[in-house]
Amino acid sequence: MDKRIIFKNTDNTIGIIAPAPDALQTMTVDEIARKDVPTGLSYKIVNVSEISSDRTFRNAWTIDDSELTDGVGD
Amino acid sequence: MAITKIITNSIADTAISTAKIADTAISTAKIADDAIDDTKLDLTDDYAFTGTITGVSSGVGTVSAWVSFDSRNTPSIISSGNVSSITDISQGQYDVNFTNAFSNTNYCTVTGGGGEIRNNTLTNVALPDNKRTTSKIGVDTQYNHQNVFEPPYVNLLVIT
Repeated sequence: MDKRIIFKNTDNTIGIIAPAPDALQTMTVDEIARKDVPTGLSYKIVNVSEISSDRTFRNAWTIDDSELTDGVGD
Repeated sequence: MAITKIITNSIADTAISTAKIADTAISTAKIADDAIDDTKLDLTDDYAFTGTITGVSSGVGTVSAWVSFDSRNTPSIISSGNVSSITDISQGQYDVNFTNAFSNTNYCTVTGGGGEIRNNTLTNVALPDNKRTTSKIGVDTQYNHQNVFEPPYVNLLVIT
């Protein structure tokens, strides 16, 4: 169950967090999200399969704010 | 008639069990050094060490965080210690997020990258000064010192 955490920076660029397998021994994905997503930014936890592996236009990726419903960074 | 003397070779091995020997009856002085070897010790348990380690020089430093990650495709962490996650910021730009933050930013970093050659140059793993904090550090991967490159291995050690 490989997860990624998506958030949108204030400049509208997209950050994608990959949790460390080692950290997942003691923390949940949501705990890592709250800790590592910048303070006040909303995030969404998705399966890694939902993230494109083609990074040609990585810097142009975007996401609608309404999708970021799983929590807010501490 | 009271028994006044028992010699060891008069006691059958099967007549003695651990339960019949009081803990207080055994002292270190009564155990010969060559009577103990690894086969007689249970080495599978964890034991708390309460003594003091001597002979180790102070100020040597320790690895306080480390990570190896694959920056290609959908970046992922291969292995790590005291690293909770990496953040994929854009092509060739990442943050390494520490599980336990440091007290200051005076930590030493060692980087390396590779697994693939681009334009006959080695991977350069750069750490921009303005992206070093107590809780995370920015990592940029390039070749020819300026061209974005996402290699199979990006490695970082933090020593304090």
